[in-house]
Amino acid sequence: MTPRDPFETTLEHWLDAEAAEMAPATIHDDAMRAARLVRQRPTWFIWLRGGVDAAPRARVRPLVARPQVLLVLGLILLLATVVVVGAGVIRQLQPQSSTNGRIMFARDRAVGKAEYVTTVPDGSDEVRFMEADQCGQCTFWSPDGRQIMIPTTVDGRLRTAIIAPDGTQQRTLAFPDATFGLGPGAWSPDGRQVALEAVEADAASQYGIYVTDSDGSSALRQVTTAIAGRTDEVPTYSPDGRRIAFLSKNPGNPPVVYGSGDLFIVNADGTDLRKVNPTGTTFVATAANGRPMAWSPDGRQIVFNAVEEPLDAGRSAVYLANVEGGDPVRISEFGSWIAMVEWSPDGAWIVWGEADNGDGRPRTWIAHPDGTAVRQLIGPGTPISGCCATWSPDGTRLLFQRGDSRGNGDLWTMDKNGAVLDQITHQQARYIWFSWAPAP
Amino acid sequence: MLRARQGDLEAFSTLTSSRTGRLFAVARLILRHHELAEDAVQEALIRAWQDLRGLRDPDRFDAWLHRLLVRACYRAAERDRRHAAVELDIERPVPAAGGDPQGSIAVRDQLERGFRRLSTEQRAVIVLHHYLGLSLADAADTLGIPLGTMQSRLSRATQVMRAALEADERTPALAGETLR
Repeated sequence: MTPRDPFETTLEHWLDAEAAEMAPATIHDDAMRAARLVRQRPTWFIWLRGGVDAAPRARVRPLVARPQVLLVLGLILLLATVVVVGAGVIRQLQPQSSTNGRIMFARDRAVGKAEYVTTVPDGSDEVRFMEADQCGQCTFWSPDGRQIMIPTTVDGRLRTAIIAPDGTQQRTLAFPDATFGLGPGAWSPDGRQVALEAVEADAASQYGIYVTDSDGSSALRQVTTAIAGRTDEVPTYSPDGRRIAFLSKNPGNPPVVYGSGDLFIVNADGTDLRKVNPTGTTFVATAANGRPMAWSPDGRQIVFNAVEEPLDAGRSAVYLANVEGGDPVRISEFGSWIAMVEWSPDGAWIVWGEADNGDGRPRTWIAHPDGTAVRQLIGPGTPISGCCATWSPDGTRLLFQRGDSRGNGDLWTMDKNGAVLDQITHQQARYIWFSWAPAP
Repeated sequence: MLRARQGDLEAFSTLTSSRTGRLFAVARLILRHHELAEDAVQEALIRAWQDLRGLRDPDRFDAWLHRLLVRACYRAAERDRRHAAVELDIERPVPAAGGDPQGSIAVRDQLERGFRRLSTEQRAVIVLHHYLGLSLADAADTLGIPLGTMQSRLSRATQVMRAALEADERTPALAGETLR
């Protein structure tokens, strides 16, 4: 008889001692309460699955031994054939076109000004359309991918212009009032209007969000008037164009990030102004990498970051709020500064990017809007270093910067499972802003 | 069992109430996390309730329940993968002198550290075999893996744990030598 290994004996004693912790008294009752809410699965369902015992002998039994499996496979095959043939017919009837258009990015090579460039998704045909300092994410695709809204200056005042993706055809939106400046903010979903932000003004009442027609045909309309001492910035239209979310930036907050304050939603006509971020938190916008809030594709919800007080501790999380009201719900764990959050075009996923925790490795996460199925795409625990991501218009890809701990790298694409696909740029730099337009 | 399979929740509750404590112990050992273990037990019980009608061999109820639990533990561990922090026992009661039946507290701490270094799958094989006392074949059946895989996984887990303990034992000596 082989003597018993003393290590195993010690291990078993230890396991017994560890297991002695009592189960919570309520655990069984809680489980039964939950079970009461779900029905037993019907016998036919389990029959189709071949039972639930699933002993190894069942696993090695050939599938063809089960007639019900053959029946279901046959039905699936028939259905798939119908779908494939039908889709082929429909595709032949429709013009072929990709929904992914050009990519725009801002590249900072630490030499001179940052360059603003558009390129096709394979990385060729780079077109530099602007150079700027201290601009960050200040250029915006029109919804149809045919134009870009950019900042410019006229007589020393901040103004907004619209250009073609190749940098030509610049058209500066004309404003009769020279006492305040208006910078680019957002396109309305139909592209007919633009929201602009007044961040320099002679009078306090001039600070706010403004709206005008993108072709310059309508008068300027002030939608919000900033709270005294604040500015209203980073406007973002809801998908139906009826509402605008924006940052009420409080310059009195510690200067730890580009802008911090509160997230508000307002109707595009200026009515029904509401604060969104929870009490005791601060909404933060960073100067680069992406937008700090995102509307759901159906416009009923909005996700955003919020930082717990004190602000300079940087304890940040992603929250989701119903536009019609109710308390926002935190959908992520607390982490470091959240630089961007973006909803997938199909509404099924949310991606957010988080600054590093002092280890030089930012993190990018993906999860369902209710916070489930969370997984890390970029950062420690993954083979990828870099930061932040934005969806392709067709929702099949994520564009991100892959780089080193100093933020230098190139733009790449990955799928939503974190599988790296293509390298887009081939010039190591800090890509401080990137977005993807639909095909015109 | 028959009533439970016919949809009698009270019968199912009676059937499982005496097993819940052991299920929790298994989940707690595999996951090393109190709340996750609670979640896993609840998920396993609900899944068992949903699928009980399909259990062809009532004598395999316990094995089947353990299989559901281990799968629930895997899912809980996966969901928790992003949590770098591991639950720590804030204050473990220290037995009085001579009251530790298994030797020194240091050994327990070493076992604890070694166990935490194992993957969820490795902890599962150790728990099924060494805590539940299942034979290798039964444990493999519960985990839904071939016997050979079970054997190699258990062997590897034991090696990892031994190595961790031996490394822990060596560390102070090396530190001491460095100091000299």
